[in-house]
Amino acid sequence: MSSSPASDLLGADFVRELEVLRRRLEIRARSGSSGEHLAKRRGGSSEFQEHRAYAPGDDMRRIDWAAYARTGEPVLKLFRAEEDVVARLVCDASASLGVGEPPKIATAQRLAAAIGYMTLARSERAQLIVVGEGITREHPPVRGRNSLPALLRELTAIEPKGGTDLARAIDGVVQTSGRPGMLVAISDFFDSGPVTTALGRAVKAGHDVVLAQIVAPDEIEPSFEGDWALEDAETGQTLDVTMDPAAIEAYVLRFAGLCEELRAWSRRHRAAYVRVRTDEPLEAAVRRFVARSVD
Amino acid sequence: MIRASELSRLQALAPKSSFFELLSPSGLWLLALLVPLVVLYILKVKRARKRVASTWLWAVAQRDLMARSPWKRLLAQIPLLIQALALIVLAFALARPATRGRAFTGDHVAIVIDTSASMTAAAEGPDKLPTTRLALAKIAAKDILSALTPGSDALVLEAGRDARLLAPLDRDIVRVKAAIDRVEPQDVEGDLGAAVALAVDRLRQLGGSRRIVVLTDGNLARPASLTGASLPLEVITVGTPVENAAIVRVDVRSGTEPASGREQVQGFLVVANFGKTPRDVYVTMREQNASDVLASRRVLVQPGERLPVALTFHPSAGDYRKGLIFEISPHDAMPVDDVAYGKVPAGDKLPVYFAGASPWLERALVSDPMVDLRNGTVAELATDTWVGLDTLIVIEASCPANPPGGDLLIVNPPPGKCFGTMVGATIERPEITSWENGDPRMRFLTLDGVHLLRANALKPDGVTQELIRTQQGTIATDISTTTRTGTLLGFDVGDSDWPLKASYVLFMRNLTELSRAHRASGITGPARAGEPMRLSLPGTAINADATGPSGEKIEVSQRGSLAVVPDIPRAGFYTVGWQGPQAGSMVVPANLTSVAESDLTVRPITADGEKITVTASAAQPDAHNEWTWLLALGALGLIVFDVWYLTRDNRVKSPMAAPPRPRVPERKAA
Repeated sequence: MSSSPASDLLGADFVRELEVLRRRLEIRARSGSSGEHLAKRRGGSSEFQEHRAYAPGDDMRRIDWAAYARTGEPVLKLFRAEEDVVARLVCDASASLGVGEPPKIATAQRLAAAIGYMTLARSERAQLIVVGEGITREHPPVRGRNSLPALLRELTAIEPKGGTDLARAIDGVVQTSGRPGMLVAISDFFDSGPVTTALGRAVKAGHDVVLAQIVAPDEIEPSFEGDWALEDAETGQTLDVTMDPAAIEAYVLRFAGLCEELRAWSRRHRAAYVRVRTDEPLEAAVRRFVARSVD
Repeated sequence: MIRASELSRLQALAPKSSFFELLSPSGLWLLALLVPLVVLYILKVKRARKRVASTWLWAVAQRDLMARSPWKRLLAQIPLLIQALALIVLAFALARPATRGRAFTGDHVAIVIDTSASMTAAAEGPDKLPTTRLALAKIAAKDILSALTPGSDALVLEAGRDARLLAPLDRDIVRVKAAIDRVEPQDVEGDLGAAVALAVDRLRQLGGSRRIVVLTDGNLARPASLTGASLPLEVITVGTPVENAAIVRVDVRSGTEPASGREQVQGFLVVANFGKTPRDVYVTMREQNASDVLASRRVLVQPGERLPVALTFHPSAGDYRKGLIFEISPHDAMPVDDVAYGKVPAGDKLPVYFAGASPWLERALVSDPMVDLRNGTVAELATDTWVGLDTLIVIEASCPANPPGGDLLIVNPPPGKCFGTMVGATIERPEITSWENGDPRMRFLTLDGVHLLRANALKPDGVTQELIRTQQGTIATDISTTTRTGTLLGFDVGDSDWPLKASYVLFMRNLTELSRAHRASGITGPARAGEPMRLSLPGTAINADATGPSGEKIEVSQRGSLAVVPDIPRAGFYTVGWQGPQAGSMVVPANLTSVAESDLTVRPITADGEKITVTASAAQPDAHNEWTWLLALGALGLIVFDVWYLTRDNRVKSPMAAPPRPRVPERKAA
């Protein structure tokens, strides 16, 4: 499987689109260090967020005396803290991503490059973590636009091979992350392991989780009919199926079940869930990502 | 416990005609296709490989993952059930299931099926396919049987030239139908009268209601044969009028071509057109077992015309006594009368053996250029190998007991018994008073003015044998036997002025012509299909046998030199052979040549006050209610449903469009 050249990952038009979209990118994670990004944790930075009524024990210095003079009620002035966050791009590089025409890994690489570009353009840190049956390769976080070529090179070097254990990989990422940040899991999620459980642990650790599911059109609506021996790209096992309406119906229902599971988990944990078809323009998927939609 | 006799009695009483039956049970063979159909479902198909991201979600559609044999488990799949059901319904549709429609009442029913030649004429079947009138009659007969009320019995009679009982009274409809299936057409003029008489005879003694049903095309050679029956007759006519041309007469003679004087075989035919439009036909003549046409003519036969046609050819020695086939083409609705059969005469000159001394006899014989005369004595006659079966024997002043040869003329025999005629005393100056004008030997002649000096009085066994009578008694008699024509003149022609008269020459010519006719056919009379064929064999012949047109062996009755083939149902060539010192064989042509059978136009059957009802088979209500169409429709519906089932859209749409009740895939434990 040949990787996409670095120049193909981000075209000029796409970059212009990303420049617009990066301003709307919101990362709801706290890293603990100061930076440009607005942290979810309210604090004492210079950007006003809201007022709230004074309660005994509050810091007297935060009382908005001007407001008190106008209303006679003591209220506290709250500011949003600015924190330095890291976007961890967890990219599934198992053999299942090599399936499809074009292969799903190409879409995964371009999506990771787009998110990485927006992160770096905002002077945030981006870290690429390649996973398979665990963490395959963990690149150090990089910052600034100057780091983009290196990030793209690392992305293009990804070869889809081996099996998947996404739960183990996410747990590994959570454990090795010193501070929480945005955790973008880019995968097809064709993993029978406890993926959602691991993702739940990531949320609990303070990560802002985004699920990007890369799917091929044939995986949504199988178009082949007749009798087939399906070969698993990761395990090599074959499965005899007769693609009659009953079999297709059963598969479609089960695929819908997988999507519904990810969607429900995302809603429950206020995570974003973006399903990306390999035959759709990536710009639309990035817009949904920025908007933190749940597909 | 029921005894065997009681059981058989109960079985006989039980109605054999069921309410439901399959008219064409062979259609059930289609059920054999169920085997390959099921095999198709249990035989593993060869699958193409396809690489997918993961088979995890496909596990729900898994089929026979563990099976290693070439067979897989037979699942009760809806398409299989539908297809099997469609196959079963289709098989039953082809088997033509039917329930009884109209009921045919009558305790005892006799079915008479006309098997005459006209029943071979082309007709249109109920399914619009070409068939024959006889096939339609069989269908009608089976319909009647199927419509019989329970407890009725039926018998089947075949009415060809003679009546034949095919199935006696029987309640077993299946057995009676099998007898109907065995009915074969015959190339004969039919005689329904004999069959009706036999049916009446069979039913007369029975109680209950009795019916006789005659199935015929109405082209009867003897229209009056249906009248006079003592039981009511129902005539069901089959077939529709069709145009037909036929050879209605055939004769083959030897002659001499006037221009060249060469021997010539002349075939005389009469071609009749029974249609309403002129027929342009080729008439051809060829030898048996040969494809080369000896002669042919193209003739236009006007409607209703009977056109004589003569075909000739010059025979060689090897052609003598061979069969000749005359044919008109193109063939029409009734092929059997488009062909006629003849035989090449054995030479143009009639062999005549003369054992006598009368110059008048010899002179009369020699005057015929087509006579090959051989002189000899009565003693030499018995041993002379020149004498054949067709040799005319002329004996003077003697009466041997059993002379060889063919036709016989004995002149002035000595007193005593001679071939059944008593030769008595001499009559002086007898005066001829009468002679048998109707006899072929006496035709075209008159004996007025003939004076005899003397003659022997003859006393034949029967009056009908008298040929020439005088005031004093008979002086010429017929002494024909079953195999030869014999003539006895009781006077010496030299003792009269008869040789000076033209009648003497005519008489002798009549004798030779009659002998020629017998020689041409080789038989004692014309052979027609359906009639017994009589043949004259050498007196020493034994163990005669016959072979029919299709090579079938036919039994021959032989008494002395007379052989009789009793039943010749087919037109064509019959080969008769015999053993003995003069062993040999001969080919005998037999023809239909029947105007009555070949005329396929409408000839209504008139009842004339008799108890006869005539209906057309097409006007008969169906004896069955067939359910074929309904089952076929059902099978079609099942096939359509199967196609819809196999090609229907997924009931679940894309997950993008909110699929109903998606099932969360099973996951491994954390």
